[in-house]
Amino acid sequence: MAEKQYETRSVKRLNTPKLTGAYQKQWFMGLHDRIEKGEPFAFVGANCPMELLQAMDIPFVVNQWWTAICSAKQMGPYFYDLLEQAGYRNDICSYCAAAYACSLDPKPEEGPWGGLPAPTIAINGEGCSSGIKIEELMCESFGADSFRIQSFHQDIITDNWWEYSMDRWEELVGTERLDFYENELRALVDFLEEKTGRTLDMNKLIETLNNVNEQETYYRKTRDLIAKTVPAPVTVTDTVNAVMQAQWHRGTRWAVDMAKSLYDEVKALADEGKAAVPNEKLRLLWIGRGLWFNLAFYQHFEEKYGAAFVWTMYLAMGADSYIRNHVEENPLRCLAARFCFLEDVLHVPPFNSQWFVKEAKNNQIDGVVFLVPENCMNNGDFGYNIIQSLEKEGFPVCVLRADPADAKKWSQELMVETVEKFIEERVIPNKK
Amino acid sequence: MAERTCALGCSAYSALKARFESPVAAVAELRKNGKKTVWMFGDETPEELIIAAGLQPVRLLGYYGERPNADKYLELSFGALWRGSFEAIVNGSYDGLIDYLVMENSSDLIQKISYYLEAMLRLEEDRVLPTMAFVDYATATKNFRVQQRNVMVTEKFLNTLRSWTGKEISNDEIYAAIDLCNEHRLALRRITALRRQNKILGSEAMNIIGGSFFFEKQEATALVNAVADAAESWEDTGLVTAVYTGSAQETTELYTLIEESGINIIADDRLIGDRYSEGLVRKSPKPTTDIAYYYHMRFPSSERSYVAERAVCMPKLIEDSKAQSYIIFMNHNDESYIWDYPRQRDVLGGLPTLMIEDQYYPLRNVSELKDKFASFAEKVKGAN
Repeated sequence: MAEKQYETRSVKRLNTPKLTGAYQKQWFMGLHDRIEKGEPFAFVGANCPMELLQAMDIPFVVNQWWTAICSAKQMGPYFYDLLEQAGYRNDICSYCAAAYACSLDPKPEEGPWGGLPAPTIAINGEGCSSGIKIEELMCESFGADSFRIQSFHQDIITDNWWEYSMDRWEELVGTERLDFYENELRALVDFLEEKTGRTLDMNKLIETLNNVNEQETYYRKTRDLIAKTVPAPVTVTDTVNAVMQAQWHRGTRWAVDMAKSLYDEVKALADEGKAAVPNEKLRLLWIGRGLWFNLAFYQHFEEKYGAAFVWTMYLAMGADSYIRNHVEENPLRCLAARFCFLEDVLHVPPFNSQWFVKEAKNNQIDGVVFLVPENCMNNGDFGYNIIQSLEKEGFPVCVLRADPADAKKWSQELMVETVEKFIEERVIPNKK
Repeated sequence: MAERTCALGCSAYSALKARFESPVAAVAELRKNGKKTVWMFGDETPEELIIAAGLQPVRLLGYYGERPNADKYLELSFGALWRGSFEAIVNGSYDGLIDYLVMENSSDLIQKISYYLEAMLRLEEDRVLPTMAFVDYATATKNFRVQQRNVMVTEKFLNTLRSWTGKEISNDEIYAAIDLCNEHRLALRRITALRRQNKILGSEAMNIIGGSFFFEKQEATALVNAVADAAESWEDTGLVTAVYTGSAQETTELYTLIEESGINIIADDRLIGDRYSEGLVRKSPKPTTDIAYYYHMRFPSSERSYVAERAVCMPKLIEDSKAQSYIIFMNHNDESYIWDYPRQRDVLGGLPTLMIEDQYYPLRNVSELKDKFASFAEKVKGAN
């Protein structure tokens, strides 16, 4: 493991992340028991319709979140070295390759929380030329049956997508594309039923989707509260784990409760006038994957500059891009409208750039830090347009090029210096 | 190895080479036939339908010069090939020569570029681009569900062509176009066979295949057949032989460098290579199904295929070609091949293999590369 000369763990200020973290760990330990008793176990991509699994009570782990856990536990360098030993490179595709690396681990039980159990089924998308191979290798290594959801080109571009996503999603996604994805979901349900012997109960799916809507509504309220409250009652280090751990279990009552708990805590702090950064002078927005192995990085700039990272996509996506009303009319179609658009929000211009600008305005942002993964072959968000759009609206942008999963390649000194220089030379002068 | 006099002395070869080396001039020449031109960006664009619509298909080749637009608009994840394609589309060098741009899903990065171009049109008032369409084939997974989707995509594209031309496109017109393309493929297969005999250099093959993309089909087929007739009597190159996979090459620079080091690429899996002529489009009562099937079931490219599939087809290509070695050459961030190779290595046994990663355009380390290839050539000779 990499030797570090800096603090990587953030200071926890809320109780909800402690609850979600403890539950997550407990759930994971219980997962091993369930699998030992012969239950199916799914490993899925973050853009997969995991609500189906939730409704069918099939336990699952999400690829990218597993990477985040490995990263947070500082195990990335160990796992990526396993890839190298197997004849692959250890310096690319880190965000997608952690699980495959785990499958090569001669001591899997020493992984985070007892290690990743061998999945029996896997659900992935089709996109990145490396990603499909890594997933294939992982499935083969674990002996998992795989289902691939085809992608379908989005050729309807709608301004201000967030005004459509909750109720007018048929217009947003397009009927032809929705027809396609609804059929993909039917094929996926067939696959899951065949592989697990379980039957999807439509009423259970409706209940799950309604739970998701309720959960995300709390995120919406939380996001809006943080946006309007200066100084902010919490920063991203307070919310990312609480949100992502509950998102993993979205569709359950527990996840709804955790979303409500987070909102209640943030509201209480706001009502009491308590600030996460009492000397808050600057509000920063983080674009890109979370820096899971070094959440303390976000807090590094608080004391010196009064700079608070108040925004990441994790809470805001819940707020704007998950809620889909009219569940009862056609739950599969409603689910299709959610999961197929998640990638578009982040990667298709101008969906992404318009949203970032809207969020920067609403959250009273002074500067944006944009993490660009330098070892991801499929990275492409039209970053130029994102930067230009934000700068044009008066939000200075700092680009960090780094590997968000592998701590070994992180240069704390360089990254701190880059952001400090950005704050001093662009954000502070722009604020005056 | 310098280009050979036997090739240069063949007028058909020279005509093909001239078009391949100067694609802008080639497109200008093609436009003299009065047809509107359709740029094809992506390996799986169904040109049969474009021809059936009475339009002139043109293969998009990248721009090999300064690439300021690519540097400005694209992330570093877009390797040299994609940067060249993007630059060619937006830098104005083809202004007035291209009417339509058809992008296809043979790489996710093409899909991303299609989104970028659409966004540029929306955001930049003075931006002018050809009318665009996207052919959303899925080719990695080979099953009936995907096949059905590809038939739907083919029919959708056919309707796009109808809307562009304002004319009906009959099945007979599609069959005729299939025949033209199949004849072109059959002619190119003669080149493939001669490459296997080490009578044609890899760089020469690129000129023949790539150049033939810039003629009308009948003329292209005639020229390729003329070269094949002549090449029957060309001498063995005398070089050790290799199969190439990796980043697509659109100029002969790399192959020539490899040849100068003593190795001839006698087979490859790229479009300006063996892949274009592999297989034929069949003709059934529903030609859109035939076309969809052909592009779906083609020799699997690394960008859109699985490790297991490539672990069968690449060793088979090497075995069929009787090549003495294997070269994998990757541009920076165009490196999906690294996930393929360990499994192939297990199948290939001790076949001499050279893997070169992290390359850029223009090549930054020509002499170092040449040394690597030369040293590899010696190793191959030693192994044989």
